[in-house]
Amino acid sequence: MPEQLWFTALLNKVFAGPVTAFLNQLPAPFHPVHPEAPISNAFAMEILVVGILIIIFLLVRSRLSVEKPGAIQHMAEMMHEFISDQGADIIGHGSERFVPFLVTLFLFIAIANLIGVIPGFESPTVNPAVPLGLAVVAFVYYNLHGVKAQGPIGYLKHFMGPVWWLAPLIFVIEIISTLARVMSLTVRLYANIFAGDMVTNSFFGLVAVGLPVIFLMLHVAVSVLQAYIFTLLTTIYLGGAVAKEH
Amino acid sequence: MRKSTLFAFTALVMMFVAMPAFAADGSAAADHSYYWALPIGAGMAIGIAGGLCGLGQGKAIASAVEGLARNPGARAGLLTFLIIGLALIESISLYALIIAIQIMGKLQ
Repeated sequence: MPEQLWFTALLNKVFAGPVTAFLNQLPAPFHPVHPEAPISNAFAMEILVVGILIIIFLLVRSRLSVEKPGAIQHMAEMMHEFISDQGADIIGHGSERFVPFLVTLFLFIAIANLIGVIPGFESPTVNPAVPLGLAVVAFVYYNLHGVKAQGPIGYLKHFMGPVWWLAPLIFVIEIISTLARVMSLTVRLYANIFAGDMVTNSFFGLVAVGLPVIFLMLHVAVSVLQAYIFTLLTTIYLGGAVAKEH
Repeated sequence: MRKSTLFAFTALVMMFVAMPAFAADGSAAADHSYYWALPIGAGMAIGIAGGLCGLGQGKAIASAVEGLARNPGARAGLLTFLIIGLALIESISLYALIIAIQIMGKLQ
């Protein structure tokens, strides 16, 4: 029986049977190691973050009004304008259709990082698979939109660089640096949150009262900042992928 | 969904399902004679990465403060660039931390 948070234990008590039965139908690597607890902590926390986000969105949606906007509508509009202005700055015109994805990415990562501060919960992002999943989703998203905007040949052509006689060398360098983006997005997010957790735990071990609050505040600031950096970098990669050479 | 999207997702799923090919085989008697070097390597990784990132961040902050002193009205824009720059430089030192953690994990 692995060590479980109370929310994970609750989910496993209710859903262990169907989930294990489903996973056992798939090929061997997917069979759960502990059949009575197939849902891991990270997965349960991700489900919780998605649930919180859906509740927030439903709350905002139910209170939308044109004449008398309330507080929650102001906050939602501020968030949307922030990401939308940044998208327009970096991507130029035609950035409107990427804004929902970017806002969702930002809110998911911010809330996933912050949920670890509450006792009894753990950030799903301290499990390295979760930032990897986010980075792969962002990578597939911007490459798909790049290919859609410029066609597959046109998209590959912009890896070739400015001059044709350096193209083989520059193509290899560009492909490697594009693949390295997945790794850098993953490790940046994972290491920041994991190191914040480790530092906070070390200081809780050293000085039980007072001083660790400073590190907790630092961890909260770093959580939101890293969510913003992830979204900003995805916006920059999107801008580079869909940019039309004039 | 469109055919190209379907194709892309199928390719991803096939790569996912190819995971059994990465099953590791057992090792013979392990040779631990180099284990004295691992903590030295981990310490050097953190030391060098931390030192150079400290220098880089110091330079970034110095330019930002100097720019602010010349033009106090540019505070908001400078703050944004400063924070983004510091976070990106910080991430380099965190890559070294991940490698150091993996090196120390090899000891166990």
